[in-house]
Amino acid sequence: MLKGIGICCTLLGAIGCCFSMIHELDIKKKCLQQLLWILEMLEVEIHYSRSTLAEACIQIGQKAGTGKRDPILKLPEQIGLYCQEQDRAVFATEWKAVWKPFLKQCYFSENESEILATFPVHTGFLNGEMQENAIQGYRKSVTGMFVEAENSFNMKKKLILSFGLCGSLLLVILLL
Amino acid sequence: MGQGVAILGLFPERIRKILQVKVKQSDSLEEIRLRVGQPVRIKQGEKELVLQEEQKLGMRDLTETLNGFCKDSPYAFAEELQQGFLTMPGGHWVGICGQVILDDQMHIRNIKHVSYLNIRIAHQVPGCADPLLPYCFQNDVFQNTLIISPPGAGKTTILRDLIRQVSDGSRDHPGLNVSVVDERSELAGAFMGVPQNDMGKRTDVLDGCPKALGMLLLLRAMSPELIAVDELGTEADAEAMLRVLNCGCKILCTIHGDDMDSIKEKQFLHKLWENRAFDRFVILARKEKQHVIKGIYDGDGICLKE
Repeated sequence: MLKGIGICCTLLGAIGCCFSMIHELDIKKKCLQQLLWILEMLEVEIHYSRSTLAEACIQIGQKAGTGKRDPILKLPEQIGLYCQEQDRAVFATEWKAVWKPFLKQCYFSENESEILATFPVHTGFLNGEMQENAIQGYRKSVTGMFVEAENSFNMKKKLILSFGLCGSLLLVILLL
Repeated sequence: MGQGVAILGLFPERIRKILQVKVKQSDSLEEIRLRVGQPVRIKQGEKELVLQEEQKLGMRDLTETLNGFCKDSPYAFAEELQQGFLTMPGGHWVGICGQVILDDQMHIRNIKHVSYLNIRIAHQVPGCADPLLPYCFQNDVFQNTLIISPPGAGKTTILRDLIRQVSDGSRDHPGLNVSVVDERSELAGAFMGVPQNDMGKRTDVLDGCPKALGMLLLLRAMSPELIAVDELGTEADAEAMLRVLNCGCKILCTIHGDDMDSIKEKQFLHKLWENRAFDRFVILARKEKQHVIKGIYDGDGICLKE
């Protein structure tokens, strides 16, 4: 009886561990996907209404809807509102301050979060078209990261699952 | 508390520290001038003050200041920068100067290396148009009015107050629907579409639009009873104004000039003269640092007030 319970626990533990690892990878991938959406919307706002970065961020937040929404979609609105309310708030500083801790929570490495938080380096252009192009350039690098994350997700998902199952089966056999 | 206190927050820390004491003390702050390689200069009434002479401004100070004014999004203000000015929260006005970028047609595309900024503090003087208001109405009907004034004699300030009072209405006159074309964002001082100055309860403001285009747009869109514009300057403005008058709408505008004769010499106004477009002429002047009404005349040139 105890042996049976032990086997079940081992199997469940192994599967849980696998899914937790997969979940981490999934969060990272989704985060990049949402960031890409934010950047696309930012481009549209700049192209159409020549909104300031703060205004565009607020509008993106509003477009993302209220209530239960992905926490990442709340960030632009938070940054935008802060910059709008505080006279001397610097967009770059606020962006970094908000994004860096969030990215860490999303299991990005130090290096990755550093790259993602450098978005404001691509702002401050005198011309709207140049500003759009700069955001597009940055979006391309994020797209690259997203493709990499997706490939890695698909590959690691299979690997983790097969290793997890094989390992737990081996444990079960040994226990039997 | 000085009028410029509210804008202190928009400056980067270094400049804010330089400005802080004087701006907080001053009630008559008119201008703040930032020039690269020079200390900060402010103008209080007729007096110019140099602040902390040893603290010369660098290019970085000016770039940071401009970025702050543009909310770190200079591209969003490209059209204003092209014309060399920006409006800030509070209706304050920033003149910009630096190196011009021209396009193929030799039009100004933008200004780079901004090295000079002139921040003009917005002044609202509620009630400054009081002595003028009774002359602008006859039998409860607003009279087409032209305010003639040399630069710096307060024509924009008086026009702004007149618009507010005509729009709000009073015991003597009901409020009118006023539409304003604010080409240089000086009248309403709109920042991101929101007027920073009190323009009255029944006023619609079209911001940043050329006067000729704006007057016709407002005529179609807002059915105004009165259209107000600042600084008539081209034939197109005069023609648009005639069309406004033909539609039965009243006009209120200003023009640069010293007296009636200086206005009559202006070629682009000839059609307006021929059509006797104006019923009232208000001439402003600056006397002993004060803005004064030099005279009010009717459409026939008869003096109503001296």
